[in-house]
Amino acid sequence: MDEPASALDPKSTTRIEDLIGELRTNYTIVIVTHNMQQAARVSDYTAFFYEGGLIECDATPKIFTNPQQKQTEDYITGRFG
Amino acid sequence: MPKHMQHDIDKLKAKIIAMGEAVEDRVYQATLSVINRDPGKANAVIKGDREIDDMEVDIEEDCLKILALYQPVAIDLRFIVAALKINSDLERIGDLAVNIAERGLFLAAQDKFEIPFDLSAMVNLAEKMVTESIDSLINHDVRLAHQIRAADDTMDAMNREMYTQLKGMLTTDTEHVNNLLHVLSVGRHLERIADHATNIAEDVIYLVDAQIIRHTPELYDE
Repeated sequence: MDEPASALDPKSTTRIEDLIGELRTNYTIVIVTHNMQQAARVSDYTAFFYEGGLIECDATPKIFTNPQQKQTEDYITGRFG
Repeated sequence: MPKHMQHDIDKLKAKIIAMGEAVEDRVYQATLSVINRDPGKANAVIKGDREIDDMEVDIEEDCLKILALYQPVAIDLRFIVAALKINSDLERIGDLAVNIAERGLFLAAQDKFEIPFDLSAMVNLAEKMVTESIDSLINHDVRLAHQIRAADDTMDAMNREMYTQLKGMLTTDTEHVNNLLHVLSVGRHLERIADHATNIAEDVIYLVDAQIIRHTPELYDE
């Protein structure tokens, strides 16, 4: 899914995220988002890509509490990008 | 990082440092009140605790505001979590300074009683641990934080030594049992202050290394 909740209001965003939650039991879902909080909410694993290259991929709780790559940390904390 | 969030985090850091310095001073004044039998200093520490309590509430509100408004992640999230815990430890150190001052007030009123134990080593170590725990936070100094953890063992040993000595005195000097129990309490409070300084050091290690090292004494020598 490519930015499935882009430009939606919070209620509609929640419905999309709930749907992802239902589908995840039967399907593997890849979602592209620029919304860090949404990535943290809906995913088991998060991959950070920058200019076409994979910088880091790890369990979502790990990426958002203690990323191993400085570039990842700088991006998710809003220090660059 | 958004400029607003950076600004709020910088402000929060400054408040924690100010609270740390205020608490350091309370511990210093409280222990002086015991050693110098100074009821004036003891009363000042007791009355001044409200200021520390207000600082704690203010810092907690700032942390909650940052969490709610910015949803920080990674190093910023770890800082807010560490700040919440350190805030609580500092407030407890402030309370323990009050407890010591209350003992100081009691002991100062006992005319014919000299404290039969040299408290200075415990006092110096407790004060040093509090000061260094704040320094380790300011400078993100993990090495110093590990040293503080190790110093807690020294404090525990001093406390046990004090307990053993005073236990002996309690059986022989029955006239001063109450006074000796107050002295014992001072030692116990100093030991608890060192525990809270150790907690702060462990939170600094978490902040910098994202490593939770509580309950892992085997990591003391790192």
